[in-house]
Amino acid sequence: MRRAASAGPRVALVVCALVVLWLLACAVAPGLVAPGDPLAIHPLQGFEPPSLAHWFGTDESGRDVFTRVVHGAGPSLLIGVAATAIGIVLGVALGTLAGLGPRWLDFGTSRLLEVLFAFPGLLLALLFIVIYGPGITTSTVAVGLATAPGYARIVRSQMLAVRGAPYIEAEVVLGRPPLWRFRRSILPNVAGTLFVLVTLGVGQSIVWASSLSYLGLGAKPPTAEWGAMLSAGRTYIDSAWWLTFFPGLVIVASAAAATVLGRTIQGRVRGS
Amino acid sequence: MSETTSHSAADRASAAAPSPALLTVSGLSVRFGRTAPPVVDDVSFEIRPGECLALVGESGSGKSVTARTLVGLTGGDARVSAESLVFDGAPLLSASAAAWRRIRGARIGFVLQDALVSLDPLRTVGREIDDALRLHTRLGAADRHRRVIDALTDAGVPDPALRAGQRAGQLSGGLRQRALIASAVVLNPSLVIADEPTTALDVGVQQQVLGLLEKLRAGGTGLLLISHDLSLVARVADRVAVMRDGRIVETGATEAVLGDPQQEYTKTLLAAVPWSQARGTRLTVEARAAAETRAVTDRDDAHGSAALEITDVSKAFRTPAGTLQAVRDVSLRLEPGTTLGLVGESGSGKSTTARIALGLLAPDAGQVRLLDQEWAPLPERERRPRRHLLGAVYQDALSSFDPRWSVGGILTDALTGGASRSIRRYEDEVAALLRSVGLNPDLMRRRTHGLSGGQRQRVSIARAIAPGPRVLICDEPVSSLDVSVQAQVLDLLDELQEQRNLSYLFISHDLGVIRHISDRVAVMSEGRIVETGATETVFSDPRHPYTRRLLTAVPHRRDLTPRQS
Repeated sequence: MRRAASAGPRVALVVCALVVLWLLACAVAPGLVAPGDPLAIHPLQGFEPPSLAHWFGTDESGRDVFTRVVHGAGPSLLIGVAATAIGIVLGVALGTLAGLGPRWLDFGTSRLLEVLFAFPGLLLALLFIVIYGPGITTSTVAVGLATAPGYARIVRSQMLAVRGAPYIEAEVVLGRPPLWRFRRSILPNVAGTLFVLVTLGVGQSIVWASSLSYLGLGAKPPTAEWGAMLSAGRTYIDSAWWLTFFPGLVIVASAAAATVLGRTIQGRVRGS
Repeated sequence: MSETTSHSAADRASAAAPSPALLTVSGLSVRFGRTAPPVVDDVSFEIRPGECLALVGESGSGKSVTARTLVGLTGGDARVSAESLVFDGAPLLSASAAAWRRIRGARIGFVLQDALVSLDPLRTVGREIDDALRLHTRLGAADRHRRVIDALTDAGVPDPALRAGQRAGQLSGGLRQRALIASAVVLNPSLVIADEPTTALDVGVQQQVLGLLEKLRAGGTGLLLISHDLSLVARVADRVAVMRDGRIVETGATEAVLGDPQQEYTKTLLAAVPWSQARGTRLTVEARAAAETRAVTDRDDAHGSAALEITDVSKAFRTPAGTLQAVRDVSLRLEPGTTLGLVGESGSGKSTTARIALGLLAPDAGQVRLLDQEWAPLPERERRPRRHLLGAVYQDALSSFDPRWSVGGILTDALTGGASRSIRRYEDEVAALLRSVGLNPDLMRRRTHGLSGGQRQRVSIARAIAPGPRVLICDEPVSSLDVSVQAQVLDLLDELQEQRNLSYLFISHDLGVIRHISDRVAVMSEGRIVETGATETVFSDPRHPYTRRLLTAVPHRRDLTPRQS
């Protein structure tokens, strides 16, 4: 056991926690962080580089990029969290069927998961959007669907491990019925691992949802959403770098912060 | 290498005169961290060529750390200090990492306890042994191969040429341990350090490994044997050093220390060996003072109904290699209020029998009756209302607890039949339960992984008796415990049996434990019960050749009996 952790990781952890807190503040009360209107147009102030008046500069219509980034946190994070939730729920359902169900069900579910795995996740999401049309809801569901097989696989292996664990057998000997064991022992023990996966998954989902918006398949450009802002700013990348840089920065920062926190929790859980 | 060999040969030649020590350790202390108390505290001993010194003591006494220090494997944060640490005339303390690599393996062989994790699963056993030769000699491939085969042959591995081509996973535990020994001795080291070399092995294999160690020693190799098994030590060691809390508390010739121990601690250790005590005697000194020897009543009469009755049970498993008949036509009868010991080597079908009796595994044929009512085969739903009558105690207590719960949570759950886990409402009942297994009620808020091995097993027993069972099935409940803790747990089981009129089906590979705890014994081999009878009858007059073989393979108890003076 290494006890003496150097100062580096701890500083990184504090920074990440601050980033996450700031993002949450932006998502819950964007008006407090940036009081302006993210959609307010000032045609005469277009393409202003970052300054004290406009920290992140302004876009082609003179909208304040900082205000838009702050107001974009809500939709972006919501898409990330909702997509992860969809993925987890589907993953737990599929994983439980495969892990605890009869052998033929495990066989069928596992093969299905393998087929889904063979598809790149984003391609799967694209396929879903092609069928159901672009939009925030569809892209959220699409990202959730695309991440579900990964969760399902992990849930299945965890279910198998916990199901065969000696303490579950001890509960059989104590006369606990199957549903009781599932509810009181198997699920909570699997959930411990899932919790870590969720924090890691939110970061990934934010990136994916932004990618879809960037491709014009999620949120539509006037909306203050990070991926959509990236997409709109792409046209001016030669002349106005701040249009793409700042939305890109928050995407990277939020995904990285969520991942670092997730890993730390993972380490704590394992260490105890 | 040839230098080493000639050296020990010279030592053997001058065996008449007191030969110079091969290894001298004086004032050795090891601590981890600046402020922590030393794990090894001022330890001194020496080993001469051809001599075997045994370090005995319970887990945590510093035996293994001492051994690892002697091969320079203490790890980065260990602080080692010693007045002198001399191996074969050269100081070890100041040795560089490069010097260590020349000594380790070539001149000091190290045999670890757990052969499964010590061998690389991806390489063949032959390659593993060959490594030592490639690193330390300039022999050609053909010569090395010959040496590998020789070493395996010496280690008692049958079909050495075939085995050399196999990986660790394809070998049994005994073969793995022997392969590991072969890799430690292939370079004819002048000192071999063996850390619990036989702990994980069946008595039969133990015997072979001991023979091998004996042969090495006869060849002039010095041997440092680390073990908590006193009967093993009694057979192999010339001298014994008893360790406790990092210090050597008593040292001397084996006969003197084990036959006439001077220190209180050594006496406690010796008294705790179950073999030397008859049925009904408490093993721990305190318990013995409290309870006078219990009368062993004649429980041979098979009138009335049995607590547990297994009739003609068979069970086969399908494996990739074919069908494995794990249990064949096994019949057992457990009388109320008594203990039936089920003994046999690993793989003999004991645990499968236990699992069938527990209703965890459906038998292919035969049936089990619990308290004169049908028990198996039966749908689990019909068994569930009577589950509280049958409890189980497992070898690995820790993994039988849900890791998320505290001790109190586990016991509350067991007391309430799964209805509650909140300690608050049942605090008094849980405290009483903990006291009845000799634990402090304060433990109820602790997590199970923070408990010692003995405490865990007590919690496990408390959980088993909480629903008020009539029969307990104990599958190797004391096998992973130190001998003095083992004694306490066995005493506890005895006490509980008297207080609650429990019946035990007690499974163990340890004949000493079985003899101590059982009223009747059933001997199992290759899935069959080969012999059954009253404990003393089976032990004093074994009928079946297998029982006889099992009994002779056991390190003999007379080695441990204190001499009457």
